[in-house]
Amino acid sequence: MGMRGLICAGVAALIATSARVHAEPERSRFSAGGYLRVMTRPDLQGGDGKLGYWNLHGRLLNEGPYAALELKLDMLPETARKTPWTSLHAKIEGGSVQGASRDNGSLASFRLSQLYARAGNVGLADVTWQIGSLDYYFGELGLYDLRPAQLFFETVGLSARYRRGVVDLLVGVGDSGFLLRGDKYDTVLTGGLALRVRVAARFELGAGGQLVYEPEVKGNRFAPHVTPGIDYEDYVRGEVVQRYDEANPGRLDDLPRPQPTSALGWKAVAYLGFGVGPLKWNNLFLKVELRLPDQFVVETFAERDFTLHVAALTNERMSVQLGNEAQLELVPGALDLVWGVLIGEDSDGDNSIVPSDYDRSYYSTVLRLQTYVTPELHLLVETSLAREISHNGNAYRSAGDSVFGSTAGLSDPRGLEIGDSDTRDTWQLKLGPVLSPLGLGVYARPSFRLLYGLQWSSQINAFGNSFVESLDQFNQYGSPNQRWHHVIALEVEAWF
Amino acid sequence: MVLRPHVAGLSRSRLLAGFVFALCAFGCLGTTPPQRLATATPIALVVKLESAAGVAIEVPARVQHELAATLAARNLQAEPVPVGAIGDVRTSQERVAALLRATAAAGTAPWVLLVEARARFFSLLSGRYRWEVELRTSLVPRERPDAMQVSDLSVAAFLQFEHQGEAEALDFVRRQLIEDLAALVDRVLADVGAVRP
Repeated sequence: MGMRGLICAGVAALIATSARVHAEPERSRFSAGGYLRVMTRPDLQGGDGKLGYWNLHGRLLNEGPYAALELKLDMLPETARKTPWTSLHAKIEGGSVQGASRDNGSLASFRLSQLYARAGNVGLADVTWQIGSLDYYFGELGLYDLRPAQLFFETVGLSARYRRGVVDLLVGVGDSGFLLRGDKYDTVLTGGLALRVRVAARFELGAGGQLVYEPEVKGNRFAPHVTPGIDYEDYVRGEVVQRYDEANPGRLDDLPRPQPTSALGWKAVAYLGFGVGPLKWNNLFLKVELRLPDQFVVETFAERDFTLHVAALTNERMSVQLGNEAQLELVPGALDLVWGVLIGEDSDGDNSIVPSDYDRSYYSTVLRLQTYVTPELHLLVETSLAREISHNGNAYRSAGDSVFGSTAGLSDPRGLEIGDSDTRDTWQLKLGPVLSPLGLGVYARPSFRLLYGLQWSSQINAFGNSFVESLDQFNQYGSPNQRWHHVIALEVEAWF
Repeated sequence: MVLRPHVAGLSRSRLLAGFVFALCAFGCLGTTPPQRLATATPIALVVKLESAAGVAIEVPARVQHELAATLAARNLQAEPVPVGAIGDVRTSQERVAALLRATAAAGTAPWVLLVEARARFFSLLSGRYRWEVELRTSLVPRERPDAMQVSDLSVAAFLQFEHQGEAEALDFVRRQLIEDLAALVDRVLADVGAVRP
């Protein structure tokens, strides 16, 4: 077939495609969807309206307001199998609402979190190309609002996703520098893949991984460097330059120069999903990650700023996270149960002296029961139990008079530990009626909730607060010593 | 002066009882009774679900069942017609015509009802797989096809899992579909002089 024949065939195919007329009503090619949650939680104990510190105790009553809006334009709608289509997407989201958060709905709290274009069946059948934001995840732990098996969250680039039959394969490449480094941007090359296989109708497996590589670039102050000779404790205390000056009086100009290097991080994820009998679905996720090292810190000494590159001091931060969520229909139409488990192990091979979120263990379980008085009126009960353990000594205050600086539990103004315990145990209970206009289901939305929340923690005041925590005798406010925390919430959550 | 909380005339137990009563009252809110024909009347029913690419998808049994129940509440007895009866034609008018022809032989159903649904994936939005479902319900009196009544509805479905598709999206929006169908049928039945029980 000559060129003319190819052109004729192409024109004929275009005419044939455009001549397909569908029965559906004419619709706008522009559409929008979104998510919102907004609440009021007056707190009579001095808290900021959240029951506890974070999602480890379940997202319910531990998260603030949030709104997301995604816009989509079907530039070329999909009209038949294996014909080209393309769409544009933009997502704006943020956690501020006037009257419901400290920044009162400031648009500064919102961001254009995703912007991408998709095109399918262009060049390759059953392949969807995506350029722009590449965020991908196998699923989520709804009780925790966590996505352990997530890839390319920070990445803008190109991906190709092949979906046919039981196979779903995604390959992506791009740059994660802007989200990882912000205004200290440096190129962070990212590549990876994710494979999902549906072995049976209610059984699927997935695995994936990504590499992030920050290359050595001589002369770029934001590229990875190592400042030689830094002691880890001096770095933690912010006394590197001071110690150097003590050892080398009058020779601050000879502080070792940073040496360029490269940095590497990676993440591997695995997923297992299945359902059987009353078990509607079970999601099991595993994540193992080596984080990319930090860039630099700035110390001020003798009225001068010194930049210290710390890639060599922060390049052994590993994170392992295992999460499971099971959704069970215990009594059809009457009682549902969701049970979640989350286990995390963070380790920092460089740090053995200071408590840190990079060096800890945590274990949590959340159980939610929802019963249906009517299809629209539900009763919700959720409880959670969590333990957090610091690997590097005390990190929590279990008494109002425990000191902030300590070493092995003893008062030490230069101690790097905090408080009097290396373990925080927390129990939460949440219960109340839920109005669900769309009917049954733990995750049916919108849901209008009136909830009472109760927390006990081994740490005092284990919630966001505005207390003056000083032990100073001139502290005019005093510090309450509260282990129990009560919250009443009136809230709504919806996708639209 | 010592400030004491005080709720005049209301004990805690009465407040609690009032709260429970209010909840129960909400749960028992009544709805407008449907229009109802005096005698049981058959109605031919076809539900067609398609993907964005126009591929036919099997309709969930629960949707079929609830549509039939909605009609039954109006004394209309659904007579399901295989979706193949409307063939490969693609416009609503052609499909209605095909349905009228296909059920003419049976001939006893004075009404024909065609429900068309097309589901297309929107995106994975904040943890939910958002689908858009376009619905068109066409109710046709066999003797007067020109009096066909049509209702269009576009609703979003939010699914939890990747493996869920068009059928689950239709199942998710079935309540809106049912309410739309009920409103359409009630409007038509009111015109033919049906009664409210």
